[in-house]
Amino acid sequence: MKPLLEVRDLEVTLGSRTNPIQAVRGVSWGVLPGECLGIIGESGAGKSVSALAALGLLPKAHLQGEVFLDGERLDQLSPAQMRSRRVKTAMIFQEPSRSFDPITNFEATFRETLRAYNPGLGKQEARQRAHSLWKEVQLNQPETRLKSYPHQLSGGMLQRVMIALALANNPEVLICDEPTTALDVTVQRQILKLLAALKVSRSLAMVFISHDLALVSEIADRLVVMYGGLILESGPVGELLTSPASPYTQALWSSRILPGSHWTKDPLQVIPGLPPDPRQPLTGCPFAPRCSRADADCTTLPPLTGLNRQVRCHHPLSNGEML
Amino acid sequence: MKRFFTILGHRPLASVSLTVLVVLYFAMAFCEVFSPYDPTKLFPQASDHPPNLTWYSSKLGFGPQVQRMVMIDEVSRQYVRIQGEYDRILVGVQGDPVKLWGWIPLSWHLFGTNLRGGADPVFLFGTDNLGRDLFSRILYGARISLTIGFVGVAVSLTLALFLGGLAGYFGGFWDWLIMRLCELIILIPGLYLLLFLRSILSDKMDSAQSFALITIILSFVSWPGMARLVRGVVHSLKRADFVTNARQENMPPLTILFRHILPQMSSFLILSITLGIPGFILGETALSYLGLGITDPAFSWGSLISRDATSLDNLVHFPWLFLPGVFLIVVSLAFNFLGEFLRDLSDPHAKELL
Amino acid sequence: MNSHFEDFMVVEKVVKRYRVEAGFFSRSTQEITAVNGVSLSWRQGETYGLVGESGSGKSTLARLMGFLEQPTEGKLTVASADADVSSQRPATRYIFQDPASSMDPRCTAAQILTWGARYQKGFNGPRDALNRARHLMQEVGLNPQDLEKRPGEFSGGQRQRLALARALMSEPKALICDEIVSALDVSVQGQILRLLLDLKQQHGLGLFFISHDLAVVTYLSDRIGVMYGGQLLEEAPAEVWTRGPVHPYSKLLKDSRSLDQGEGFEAVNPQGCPFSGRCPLVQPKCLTETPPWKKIGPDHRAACHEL
Repeated sequence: MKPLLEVRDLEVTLGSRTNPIQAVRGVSWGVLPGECLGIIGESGAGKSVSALAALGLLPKAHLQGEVFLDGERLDQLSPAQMRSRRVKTAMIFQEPSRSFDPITNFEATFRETLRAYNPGLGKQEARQRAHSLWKEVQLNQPETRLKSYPHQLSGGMLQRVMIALALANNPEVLICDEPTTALDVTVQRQILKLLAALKVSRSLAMVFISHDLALVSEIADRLVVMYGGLILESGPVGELLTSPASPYTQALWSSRILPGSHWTKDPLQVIPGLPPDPRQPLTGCPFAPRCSRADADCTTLPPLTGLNRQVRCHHPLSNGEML
Repeated sequence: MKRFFTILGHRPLASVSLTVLVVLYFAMAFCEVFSPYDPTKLFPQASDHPPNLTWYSSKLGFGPQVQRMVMIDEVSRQYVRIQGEYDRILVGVQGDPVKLWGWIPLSWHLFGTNLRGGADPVFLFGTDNLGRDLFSRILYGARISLTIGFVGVAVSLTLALFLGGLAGYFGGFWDWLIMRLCELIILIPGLYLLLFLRSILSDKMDSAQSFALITIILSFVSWPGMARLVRGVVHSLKRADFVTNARQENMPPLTILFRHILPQMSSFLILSITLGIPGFILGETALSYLGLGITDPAFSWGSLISRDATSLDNLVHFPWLFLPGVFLIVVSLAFNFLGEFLRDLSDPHAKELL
Repeated sequence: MNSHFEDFMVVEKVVKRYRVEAGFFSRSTQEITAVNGVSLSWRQGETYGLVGESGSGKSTLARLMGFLEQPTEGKLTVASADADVSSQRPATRYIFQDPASSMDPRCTAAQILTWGARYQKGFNGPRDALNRARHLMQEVGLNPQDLEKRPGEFSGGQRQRLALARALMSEPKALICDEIVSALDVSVQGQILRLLLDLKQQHGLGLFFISHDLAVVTYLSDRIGVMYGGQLLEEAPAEVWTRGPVHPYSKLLKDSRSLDQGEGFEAVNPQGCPFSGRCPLVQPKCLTETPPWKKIGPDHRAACHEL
């Protein structure tokens, strides 16, 4: 199978010419239909930028590399051509409450979204489509609820509406940029479940961006671990978590707080230090200053090795080894 | 400060505006020195005399000099240039005795011609119909025009900040009272209020009194609008987390208001100041234009405009008489450009200004 | 287990209602009860964890306990044995979720830390305050040379460190941490939690820790309270609670099994058990009667008709 959305050697530079920010420094990934690719990283790792820039949603960014959507090269299209291709893609963002127009009811929002790509769509038809979408994201009472306004729904419900809107024009690629970060833990689980179900029922190619490794591991099929604008490790989620090869992945995984642990018994694993400054050029492995295995070799940038299971490290951890 | 000038270097319009304003205010402050003549001095032979500065003549070569002009028609005030009659403009001449700031006697002027040696007077911007040097009059007139903006904005902004801040921060009764007062003043049509106040108070006043009166009238009319804006911002900011946090540290309300809340409005304040100053200048001009502002023998840019630049005929034949208006426009624009720059500068979120 | 500790703060039947202005012309004003009769005692040096979903009233309770707001009914007392209460020195410090909004963006770190010190007891002049600020910057893991930076120049985690340093400037007895790590990256959360534990031990601080993240709350806390619909439903030592919560809501919460997508609770004028609308074991009397507290074990109590 061919990847639906694929980026190859993507480099993204943001900011002004005098003050460039190297947000992404050469990243390749692809996502198949019916697959969920999780992109993990701390803030500033370039995880959102790589996905947004690939779809041409960062107009001021300077791109290098290749982007393919359904076999077609995207990065050389004009903005107008890009817009017509973008119907195949959809996005969900972090803050559902800020993504809605507070004085427009949901029915009008749906109608507007549906008409963006079907200008002649009638009012009745739009309502019917909105009804079915409303039910698809497991919200009830579409007849009355569609008439309500954003402030009348809770954050979790709004996020469901966001998902329904994203699905309105039958996209093939769904990019979820930290869709659950602003939500309660209990609601997070519901949204994850919903997304996982939609992925299967619509065979969506899903890109799930988050800083929470534990959360992503519940939905993703494959993971890409980003740090300092680079991929440090990637692979199938099970393998990656049972035997992480990059010390960063391992540190990230063991720094999560397990339910039921207590500080008096289980000391907190913490990654010391700060992520690298994207304004500075890279000197060697970006994680080296915070890595317990770093030595003189790490002053040069390690190459990304492997095919299905990629690692960028001079001293990768062997099977199941702990730090 | 270094940041200020670095950024200013990248903003040509702002740096030009700043230079213009600095030069004008400096010239205004020392107008006794910068102007070659007393602004009320009459040159009887030179009514409506055109500007007579030239930079080259075969007689004197390159350099600032004046060419003699002689009136050939007393009715239409037409002048002709006399060939070969040039006088050099000198830097630093003894001329009319004046008093700097009203009390330092002085007869040294920055530039002029050797009047005592029989040279022609220099009229950079020409003269008015009584033969008074327009350049000197513009500089002296700036004393009123350029200061009324600052004084007026200072008075009205202080009122607006204090009353608007109190209303917004404490709310309740004070909010009600102050806002109703604002509305009352806003309800009265401003121009009629000005005319009314001016007419009942204008019996016999010297220039200082009428200046003060105009300033007070203008400030009184303009503070409620600003106060309402201040009140709105304070009202929304007083529930902000950082204000609650400061309250948690036992900081007294007024300190919070002036240290944490009002500084958040600095871009708004800078805009109000820089837009308000030309507003006051124009307000004074309007009053003077209607004959209710500064009256002879005192004068401002407004009264210069109303006195000399009122008829089309004048503008066609004596276009230099419109120069006070040009100054007015330039100063208003300069304040606007400078305000825009300062607002960007004071915004802590705007990092990329270069 | 910590019962030998003295009470630090006692919260008695605290109620907080907010008025909702329905519009300019409407006569009746609606009221929302955010906290509905909560009683608890927070012990000296104890870490009390409060869990609940958004809208459960936990933040409002925290603001009441930080004396940022006045309760509509009930009272909060800081233990009378504490000699400092009568003085100006605040016993508790409330720390906001979003450090970016809780600091004046125009002030430098030095101003943020020292401006408040003037109004605290034990102020020894600006120089002393600056020295303490420098010291605290170091203690929270910031570079004292960054005192001249503004909040916008710090990263999210560093800003939260700065917020902690600011709180410690007033030498509080206890900190009220309202979701202070929720907005941070997982990796930074760990750093802040570790810092919080260090500070707690060094300054002998009590902590009132609020979060919707159960793992974090149970990790940090000595005792846990579960809040729902403005009421406290269960209270237990953290260890006991993680092993076996008894309240139906706690059980659902702990399994983080989806609490279906119910409407949550009726925020206006609630009656009976707030959880009755979504409870699997609901009975008629749950709708009308507020369930009484039942003692389950040492330090362990729950409010439910079904127990």
